[in-house]
Amino acid sequence: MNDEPRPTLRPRRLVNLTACRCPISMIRAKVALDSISAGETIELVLAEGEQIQDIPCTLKQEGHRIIAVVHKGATHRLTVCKGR
Amino acid sequence: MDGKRSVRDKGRNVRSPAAGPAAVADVAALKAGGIIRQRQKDRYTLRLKCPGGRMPLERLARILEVARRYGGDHVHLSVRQSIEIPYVSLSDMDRAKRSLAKAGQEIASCGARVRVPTACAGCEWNPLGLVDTQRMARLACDRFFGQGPLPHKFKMAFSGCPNDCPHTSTNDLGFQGAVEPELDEGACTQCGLCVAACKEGAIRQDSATSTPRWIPEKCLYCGDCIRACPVDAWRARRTGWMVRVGGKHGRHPITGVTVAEFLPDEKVLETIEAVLAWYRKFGQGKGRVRLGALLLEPKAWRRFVADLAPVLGQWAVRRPPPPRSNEIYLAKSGG
Repeated sequence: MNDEPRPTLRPRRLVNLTACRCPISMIRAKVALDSISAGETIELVLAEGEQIQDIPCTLKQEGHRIIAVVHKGATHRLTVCKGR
Repeated sequence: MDGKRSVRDKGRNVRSPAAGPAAVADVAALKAGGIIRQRQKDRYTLRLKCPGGRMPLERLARILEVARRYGGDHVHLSVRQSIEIPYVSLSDMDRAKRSLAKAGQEIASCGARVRVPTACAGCEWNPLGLVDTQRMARLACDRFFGQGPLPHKFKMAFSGCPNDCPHTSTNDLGFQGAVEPELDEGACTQCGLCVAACKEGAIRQDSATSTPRWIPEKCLYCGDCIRACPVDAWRARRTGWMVRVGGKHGRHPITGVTVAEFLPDEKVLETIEAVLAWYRKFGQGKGRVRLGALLLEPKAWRRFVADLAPVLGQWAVRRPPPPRSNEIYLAKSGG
């Protein structure tokens, strides 16, 4: 859409959530997103199971965009662009 | 005033129930009006009508006022989402009901009639909710609540998604929200998030093209894939209600079964009407029997499926198995 912020090329931060348990993982993801501006990106590393099942749809619901995904074994690296 | 007396000793001094047929008839009449006799002499619990467990604050305020004035020191939240006011004396009952009525708070019913429907939040405020359970419970309550006499009680539940918190399969008639996904392959970026998001393994990634492939026999129609897809390539092909009949808990539990899939909103009330009519007709002369108990009999089940087919139409499940007895108290332990 025209009014969506254009993502920056280089992610500002990488946040590994694999050691966190629900609901701390989502809280940490939100805190990480709070630290950047709309249009900037961060990378989140999520574990198999609850994290990858629940966090992407919550991010989408809150208006952020997942612009790249890399699956590596039991972890998943998401590049997330912060919405408005 | 009784309502202001100390309630510390209300659990003691248990009296025997009043004897005789007149007393039994009185209790039955009271139950029909949501007034339930307690152990304590001349104390009754007033069961309130709270469809879907939704309680507007103005009514809640009035319930608090009435409970303080005429009840004990607490209210009780029933298993079916109603607020109950215990320890009301019969002589205060009319005043309590009138006061509640002025705030729009009605009374529930007990006995062999249609009970207040239960419902979860549904899509009104739950992000996982697929259908508007609160609205449908209200419509069903307005149209069918209290209808009777029926062979036995009749309970309905409305669930917003396959988590099925209102447990549709242990209600006489249950409606549970579901969404059938479909993929727009042109929009798909093969990111694989849907595969990871699916808790049921109902999406696999094609090894050659990385395109997601849907496995319908594993799908619970929950919509996790649709919610997870970053580019909205997974979409809702159709959304509606899974319809379950014949469930009950109690002494002899029965697990209800799905008889229709993706039933649209506009068919729900008609379906309830048809099921009630069937129950009323085929339960006649069979004593105090729940719908599920009637449907355990194979001939009755075949008749039910055939009679409901015109109502359920294209949404009917073909040749559904009958409800299943789930005896949990009579199961023998053993080596």
